[in-house]
Amino acid sequence: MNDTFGDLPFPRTELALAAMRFARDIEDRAIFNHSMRTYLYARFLGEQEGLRPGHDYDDELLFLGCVLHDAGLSDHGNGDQTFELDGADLATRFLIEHGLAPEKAEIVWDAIALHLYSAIAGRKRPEIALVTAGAGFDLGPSGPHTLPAGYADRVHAVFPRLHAAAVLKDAIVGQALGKPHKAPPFTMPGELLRQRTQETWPTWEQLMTLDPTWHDYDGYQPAATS
Amino acid sequence: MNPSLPRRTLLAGLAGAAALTAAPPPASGETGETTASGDLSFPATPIAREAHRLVGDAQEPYLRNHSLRSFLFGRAAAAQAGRRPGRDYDAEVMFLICVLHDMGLTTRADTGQRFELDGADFAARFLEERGITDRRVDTVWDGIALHTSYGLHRSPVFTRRRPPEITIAQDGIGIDLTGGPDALPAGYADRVHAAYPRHGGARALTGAIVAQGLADPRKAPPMTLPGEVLHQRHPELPYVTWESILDAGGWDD
Repeated sequence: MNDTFGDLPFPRTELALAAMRFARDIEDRAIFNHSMRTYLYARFLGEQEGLRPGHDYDDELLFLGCVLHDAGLSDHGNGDQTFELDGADLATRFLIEHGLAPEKAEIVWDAIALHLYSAIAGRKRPEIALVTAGAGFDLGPSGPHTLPAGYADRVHAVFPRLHAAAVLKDAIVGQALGKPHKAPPFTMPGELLRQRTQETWPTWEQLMTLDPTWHDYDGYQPAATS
Repeated sequence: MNPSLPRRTLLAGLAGAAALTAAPPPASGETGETTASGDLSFPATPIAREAHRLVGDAQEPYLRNHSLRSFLFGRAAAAQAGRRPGRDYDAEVMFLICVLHDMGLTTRADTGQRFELDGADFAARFLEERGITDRRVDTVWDGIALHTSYGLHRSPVFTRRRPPEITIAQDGIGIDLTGGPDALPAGYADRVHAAYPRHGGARALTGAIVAQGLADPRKAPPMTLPGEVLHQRHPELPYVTWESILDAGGWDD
């Protein structure tokens, strides 16, 4: 693949290209393609809200957050935190090493670290909010129907889906099977692991009653209506 | 429960887990810490007093006491690690996070978002209406909105970058739910509980989260703490999986 991508509107700064190549080198192609589409849809969703690249947000920063948002799902990025935090740490290390100002790298860190928390990310600045929005758009539930006619086809011609959603889920679950601490309860990785294994997660009650405990459940009889 | 997973691992980033592994008490000579870790006082600035009165009015005793204990435990755990109010963090801001962090469980703050966000929005408005419009609003908003986002509070990058009030408050909240007295100076938890009894504590808190989710499913989206707690308690209710979300999209993966 060359790095021009037809006339699709990617920023082509030196850093953007370096980050793109980095992601392409370490990620499964389906996840890389999802990440590139994430930027295109983030930009589109921003336009729907009247946000103009370079004017209302830093276009390069938005691209960096999008293209690296799943870096934690690569073998290179597979550390001991949940994948979005591993990815945020890896991305900001890479970007700072390549000369990005630390205060700008912090915005990318937030964009990646918060991308599973759409309600929270959605309240942050566009360089953060649009990463989550673009990634979510590429997976559903809005689907291709809300895009300009033919746009999804053009995007997919350059970045085929390659079963993106299925590959993403398998990557998250695969990491969690190897390192269960990457999938704590009440998180997306934790829930996806539980759905796969059908194991019973510890309930809230169990977590609260293991030692050390404050004994809030000692002798408790649930009310019939709760 | 999966027996291969110790609780510490399961709770990997649960607020408070960091406090359980906090640094040991400082060497002798730092005995000034006993003041901060031993007392039951609260910040007495005008806005702190107003927030204190607010939770007394708006929250049931179990919830009010959880909010107040979270501050006391947070301050005590921070003192154990050598961090002092005024020098290492802003006690007023840390207090505001703790005391307002569960306002989203009250009808006063309910706007149909999950309770962490409703509480964060309520707290931000509370500050702004009282003339605080600087970065402290963002600190309080983040501290409340993110208080159930596991993992973040154990991230070394998050801990280093974010205002210390957030992490200290999370530790206090976590200790009051899953910690236990071992995280605190000997005898301190007993003194706190004598003044601020649990009245059901975590159990009553869960009941409030579940009741909100039953009344308004928007408050319990999947893969969030409220959503998963509701699902555990009421497995008969509709629940979306990864596939069911994606199948609605039409991308045909």
